[in-house]
Amino acid sequence: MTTFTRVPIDLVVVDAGPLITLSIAGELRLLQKFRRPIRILDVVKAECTRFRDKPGANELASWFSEAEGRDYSTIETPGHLARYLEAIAKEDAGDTNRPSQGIGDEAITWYLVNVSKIERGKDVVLVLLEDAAFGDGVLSTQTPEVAAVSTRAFLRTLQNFDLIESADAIIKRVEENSGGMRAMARYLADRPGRLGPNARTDWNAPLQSEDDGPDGGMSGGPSGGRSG
Amino acid sequence: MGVYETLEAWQQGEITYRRAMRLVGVDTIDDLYAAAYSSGVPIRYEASQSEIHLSDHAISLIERQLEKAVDVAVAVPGHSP
Repeated sequence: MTTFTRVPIDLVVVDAGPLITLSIAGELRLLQKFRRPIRILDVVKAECTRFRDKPGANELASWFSEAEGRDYSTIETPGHLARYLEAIAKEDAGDTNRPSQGIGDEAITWYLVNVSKIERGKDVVLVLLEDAAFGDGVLSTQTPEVAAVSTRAFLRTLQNFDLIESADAIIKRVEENSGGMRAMARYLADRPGRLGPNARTDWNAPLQSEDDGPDGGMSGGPSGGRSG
Repeated sequence: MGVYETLEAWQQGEITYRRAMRLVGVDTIDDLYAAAYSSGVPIRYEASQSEIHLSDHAISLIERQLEKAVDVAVAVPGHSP
């Protein structure tokens, strides 16, 4: 059996799916359990708050403003947000080809490819996601060094470490609180990033330690907030 | 134990699939395999020693039950073997 060196993650990037799900369940605070700086891309924020009548959207909009710099930092992407806004304008005008689709995933991929430069050398990254196509497709093929964890696997791990009482109760609450409009995706993945032949990422060790990572805090970034 | 470590321990024969299902939070073995695939856990195709032992034991129990069933059938009045 191969013994792997386990390298703690530096940063967590959160996709739209987990943000919406955790918001509906009233559990956005759980992101702090990673004990690592949280990054959310500008496009992802726009995706989450596009339809204010959808469950979780208003709560997320409030959380985005109040928690910025404290619980997470925004990553500004070059061109992706503008392209997204253009695309949704076309959709609002009747374009049925869904031009906005995939721009968020594309922006996250851009960030992951450039993370070392953007984050000044911190490049051991975990993506929290809910989408099998993104997790098993784009991420595993284009950025195998990045850890991928689905919301379901995240909650189950927190339960196994006694950091929450019941993952199932939170999953159930998502359906209840959204009036059946949203159910957490069944996708279950906890895939370490492959950092070399015998090294892989680890996000479990910090869960129960006092180790807040290289920034010594949750949200701190290289520029103390927004990054571009 | 984390989800990845659970799936790895299951595939390495260190824990049973039932325990793995509990720790991963799935209801079916299909979901367990799907989680292992998505988590990049190498899937083992050969049965482990404990699985072979369990399978042999199950087969011997089934054979014993079949023998008993035959004995009962033979003992039924009017039955001609």
